[in-house]
Amino acid sequence: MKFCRQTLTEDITQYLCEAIEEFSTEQHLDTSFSRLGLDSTGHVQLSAIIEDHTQTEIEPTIAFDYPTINSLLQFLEGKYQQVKEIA
Amino acid sequence: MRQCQLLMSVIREHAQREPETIACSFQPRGPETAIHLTYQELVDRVESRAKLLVLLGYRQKYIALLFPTGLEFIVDFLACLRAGVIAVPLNVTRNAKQFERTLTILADTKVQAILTTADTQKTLSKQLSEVNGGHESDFIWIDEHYRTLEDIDIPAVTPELVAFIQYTSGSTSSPKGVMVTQANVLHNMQVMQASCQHPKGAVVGGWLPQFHDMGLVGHMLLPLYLAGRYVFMPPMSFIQRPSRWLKLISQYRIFCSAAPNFGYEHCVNLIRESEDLSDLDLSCWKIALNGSEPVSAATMQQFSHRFYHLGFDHNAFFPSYGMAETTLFVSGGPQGTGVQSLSLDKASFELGKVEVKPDGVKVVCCGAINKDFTVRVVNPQTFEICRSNETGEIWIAGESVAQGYLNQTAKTVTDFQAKLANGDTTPYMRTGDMGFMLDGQLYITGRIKELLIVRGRNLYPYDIERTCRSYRYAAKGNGAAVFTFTRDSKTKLAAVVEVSRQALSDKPPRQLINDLKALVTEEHEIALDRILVVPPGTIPKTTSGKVKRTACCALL
Repeated sequence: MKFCRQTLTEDITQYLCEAIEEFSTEQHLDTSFSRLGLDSTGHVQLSAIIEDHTQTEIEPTIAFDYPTINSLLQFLEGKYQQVKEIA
Repeated sequence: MRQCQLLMSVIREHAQREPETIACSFQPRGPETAIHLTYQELVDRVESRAKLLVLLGYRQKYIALLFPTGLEFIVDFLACLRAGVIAVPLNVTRNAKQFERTLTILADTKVQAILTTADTQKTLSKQLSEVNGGHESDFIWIDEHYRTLEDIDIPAVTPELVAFIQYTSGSTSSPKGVMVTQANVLHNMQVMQASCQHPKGAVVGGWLPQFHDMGLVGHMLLPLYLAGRYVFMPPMSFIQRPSRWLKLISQYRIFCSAAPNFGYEHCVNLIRESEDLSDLDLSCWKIALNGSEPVSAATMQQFSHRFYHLGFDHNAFFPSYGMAETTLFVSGGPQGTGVQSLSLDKASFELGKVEVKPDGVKVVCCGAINKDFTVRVVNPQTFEICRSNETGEIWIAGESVAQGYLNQTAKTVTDFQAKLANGDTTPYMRTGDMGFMLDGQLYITGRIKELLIVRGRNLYPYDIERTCRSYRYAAKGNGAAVFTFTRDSKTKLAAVVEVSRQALSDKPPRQLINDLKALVTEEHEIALDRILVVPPGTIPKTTSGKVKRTACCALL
């Protein structure tokens, strides 16, 4: 599993900027995706972006379980640490 | 095959003739994750499961099936057909609104037992006890660990028995359960084979959910009837990465794969140009069926433009018409004709008349009506048959027409036993769809409920909504609703349009409204009486993203 907080944040925000008008990285790190107006297909798209980044299988529903940028990154960071320890 | 009266007897014959042929292939992820069942394995599992259900006393009782996408669902669903247990396939969901719908259905059928997997049961029990304020549910859960060693003869099942209840995607509060008999199922298999010309042994499948009519009847049951192979993947994997659908088709040489228009659109929008698909070969895909939603000629064109270099043949497009109430299939094809559309004179069309004219309103053809159905175009008020050049409600009679809605006698009488004004005693099923027929081909123009009659003209909201969405300051997405309202006992036309926040802060609303008014007048020659411009996200929508037009009235 690969993980770089900064690049992944960039990938996610780039997608959200395309999908949601007036998305702002400064203001919306802790705003839920559905409050931002992201539909369910958009939520699933986030999982594909994370898959591309981490090069591992990611549950399609991950953005429903961790519905903000910060909570998603925190979860993934924890997962990454675990994988590293096992390796 | 015609002499067999039940689908399960046909499948058991296949198992005897070619036991080693693969019947189902489930590929949850990459090719290495695929699992398969041969006809022999499938039938053995179905037999033992059917015996269990008979021993437990579920014959002619309702039983819910709550499964994640997989082989287990196929076995248990067929076991119900084999044992004469009435299957109620339902959606396993984490969405609270959808789960509420599942609960409504369980209450409607008074189901006591649920067929499922041990894993799913854990999740569901937790969801249920949350809803019930911590109380355990009273359901009897039958998972893969239930076995019987007792050998019994499975009592015969007769064709007129209800085989399963197909809940339709009506509103959340009042889902309707369509009662489909064993005879209906077999008849619709014959209908599909005749209309699509599937060869024996055809490979059919894709990503459609197994609990829903098109996935269940069209993808899962049909290939098993044809001694073919049902190939499938989880719907969510498709949503996540739509190229997986195309890979599945290429890898398994799928002959027929269906999706609503949305599926094709999803591929066009989300498969990136940069993704390397060059080793795919879609030339095997002879029937790209498009149904259950209005078919967009534009989407079909974009799709074939994007994927023809992978061997996709645009003549494989197969727009079709059908619904759970007719088991599934009513019209489509013939194979190889692609997307056909008619151009009609707009003014006549809005008066309910069909007059072919170049550069007019385009209506996509839903294919040839299968000859086993009697289809009538009927005036929905007078119940008289329309003239051949008029649009009206589509009424259908035939052996695939289901028995009605479970526990809804009144609605069953009005919707399934409608009689024409001319004295014909045939009961017809009212589809609620408006359309017309031309040379044996069916054309659907919209839902009756959505038809807007304003100043003597018949208008469909989606046409005007599309125009509003094309406005340069319109917000992205499905953000326009057009509907009628009554003022001073007159019917008036209104639109609510989502406009970008940027435009809302830069421009006076009056200017935006005038622009929209001009745009609609120019395209449709009708004036909007009221226009509201709102920020994105204001228009109420269903969980699947469809605009709730009636709820929009409250915004005015």
